[in-house]
Amino acid sequence: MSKSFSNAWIWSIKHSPLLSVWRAARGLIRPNREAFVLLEKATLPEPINEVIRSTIVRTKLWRDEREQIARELIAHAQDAINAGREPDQIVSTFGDPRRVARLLRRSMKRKRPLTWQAYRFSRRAAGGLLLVLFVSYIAVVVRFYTSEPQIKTDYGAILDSHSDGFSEDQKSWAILMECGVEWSKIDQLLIQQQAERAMLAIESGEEAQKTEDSRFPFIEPDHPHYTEYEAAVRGFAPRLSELRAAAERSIVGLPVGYEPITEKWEGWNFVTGVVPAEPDDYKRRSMIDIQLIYLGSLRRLSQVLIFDARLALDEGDTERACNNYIAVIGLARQARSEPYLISDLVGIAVHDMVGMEIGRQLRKQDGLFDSDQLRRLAHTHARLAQLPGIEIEHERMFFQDALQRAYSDDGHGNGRLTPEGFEYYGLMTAPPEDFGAVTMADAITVDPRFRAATLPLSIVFSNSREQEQAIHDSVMDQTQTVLDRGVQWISLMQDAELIAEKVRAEETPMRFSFAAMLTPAMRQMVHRWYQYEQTVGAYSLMIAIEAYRQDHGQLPHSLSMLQPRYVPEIPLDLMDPGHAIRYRAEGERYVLYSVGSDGVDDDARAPEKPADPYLRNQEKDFSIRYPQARSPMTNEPIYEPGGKPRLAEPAGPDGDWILIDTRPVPESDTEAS
Amino acid sequence: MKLERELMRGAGPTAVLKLLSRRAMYGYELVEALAAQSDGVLAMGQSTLYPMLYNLEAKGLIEADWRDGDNGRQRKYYALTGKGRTKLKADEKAWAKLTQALGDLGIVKGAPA
Repeated sequence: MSKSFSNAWIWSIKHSPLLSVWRAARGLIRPNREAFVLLEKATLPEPINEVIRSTIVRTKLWRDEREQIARELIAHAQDAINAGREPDQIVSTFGDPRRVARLLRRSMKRKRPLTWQAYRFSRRAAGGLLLVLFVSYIAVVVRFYTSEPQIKTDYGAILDSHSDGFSEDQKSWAILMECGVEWSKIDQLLIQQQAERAMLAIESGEEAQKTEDSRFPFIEPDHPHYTEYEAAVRGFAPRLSELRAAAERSIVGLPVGYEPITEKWEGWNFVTGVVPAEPDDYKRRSMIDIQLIYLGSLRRLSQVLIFDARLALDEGDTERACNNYIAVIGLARQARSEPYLISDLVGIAVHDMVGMEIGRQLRKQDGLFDSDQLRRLAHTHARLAQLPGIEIEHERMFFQDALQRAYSDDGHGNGRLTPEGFEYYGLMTAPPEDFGAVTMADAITVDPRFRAATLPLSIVFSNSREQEQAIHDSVMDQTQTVLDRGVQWISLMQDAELIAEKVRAEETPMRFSFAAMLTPAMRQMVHRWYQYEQTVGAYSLMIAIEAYRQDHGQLPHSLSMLQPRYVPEIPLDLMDPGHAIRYRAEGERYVLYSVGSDGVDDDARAPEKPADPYLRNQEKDFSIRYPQARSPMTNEPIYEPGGKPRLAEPAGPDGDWILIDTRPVPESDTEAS
Repeated sequence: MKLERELMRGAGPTAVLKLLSRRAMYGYELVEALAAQSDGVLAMGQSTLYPMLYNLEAKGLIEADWRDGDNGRQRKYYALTGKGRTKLKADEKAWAKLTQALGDLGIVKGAPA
């Protein structure tokens, strides 16, 4: 065996981690044993013996290290005695045993094996890291608990200001709510009766009818609940007169801060009254808590009016039916005039509902309305159609209000999440009690101590106020761009959706985002708007064509014949810039359509397969579809040199977008969905 | 005259290395030699010497082994390693430069100019 090989063996044994462990463990049991035996054998004078003993004990080294030091100090003392030194002199030159022990301990530890040195280093590093983490945590805790939101802007007052300048008799909210509450009580009664009847049917083994009215008002006389609804609506006639008058007013104008009194029954919520919130209570609330209680009533009462119109048509009372349609269009206009996106969308839905219903009835019966009725319908419709496009500025306010209630404010648009913000977020994410689900806030409030200790970490893991604002702004800016530039730019909404989706995907119990939670599904909203904008044009033409037929006894050969008497201008086909909505007369019937995403006129043939079920028009089996091209390498969207998005499938689905169709219904089709 | 602690911390190890470059020595012998050969200037007690020796050993500049002494007792002898020799040469050069610099400043009398 070579010398170097032998040395390597010795080195590896001396530096073995196991040996270090053994030496350390051995030192735990009688660590001074060998050292004291040596001292005993050395028979040194007592003062010297005592000072060496005291030093050895204080070194707190491993057992064999103490033995080594003892041997060396004993040898040194013996050499000094042999040289004729006095014990007192030796003791005085020795120094303070405490200090000597400390110096010896330090230097002896430097001689220990590499593995021990590494262990000591990692232990110190871990300790240091823990210290840094602890200090950082304390800093975060102080930072979190000393921050508080500053509510600087009263967005509720800004919202209320939209009704400034309108007198109370120009506002419909009081009548709307009164009628809504009354109809809600009728609804409650009807649903309870239906439920009881269903229970009796089940008990007697018969087939039970569903206790739901999702098809109301489009139910036919053979529907099992038709008679009850008919009786209820007829009994509601005096209120419907009030409602028709209220629908002519300018705005809804319900002040911020009113809240409903509700009654629960078997999972249903029925509004039994409306009360204004206490002013102080209202000021404490965020805009998110503002309950747009008129919307439910407005939508439901519109359905009641449409059902009553059906009853009127059955009786041959076209005047009442026409007035009801006019009232529904008026309510839709009022909803669209309120400064909330959701109100805009309800207005759109109500307008669509009545527009399609008018189309259905015209399809059933030629010459349904006389010229005067058609003129009034056209006038009311035009009043609604001329309203500006959907407004998203108030959505920004909603979000800014949420941020000012959740984040601190550094005066420069930034801030950090506050304890109040956390509570606020928890409240907003809390599902209705009926679901019984555990929310994030619940999970963290299980143990108050755990909650208090972990809450501050939310400012580490969550976005700053500025970041949250930027996320929301990016989605809203993108949406505004599409709304400003037109439907051809709709694929930009994919980007907006991706931004919101990305933020949502990053949400965890400790990392949450107001932007992810409060940014509406703008892509769907924009699609809905353009669908609506297109169909509204078609509704105008439908009424104009009927008016032309009344006057001339036949359909116009082309839409240009309607100008200027029946319509001031022919609505454009949004999918074919610069061209009008297509019109095709077939005998006494006609169809109005758009060429659709592919821009090709398919002679009023609807596509066989709709593109996106979620975005499709309810009845028209079509959707606006402009998917944006993406780089196969990076998945980033591709833009044309002018900034316009490049389309992935410019052709889109084959077929036309049928807007109004009075042609005979194919036998295979059912009427209303 | 004894050196202040900071000066001793710089000069002590070099002095010990120098003494050990001549032959292996044990602790008490080093104490005596340092005191005698430096006229007491570099005299140090056990509290300074042994930690210093352990540090030099930990750095691999010296090595130690127990040997039987002339009086029949065992003593721990310290000897310079190759690494220690190299370090000593470097220290000597550094001290020479320092002495010269101090001489140039007139702090050390008789130092080569």
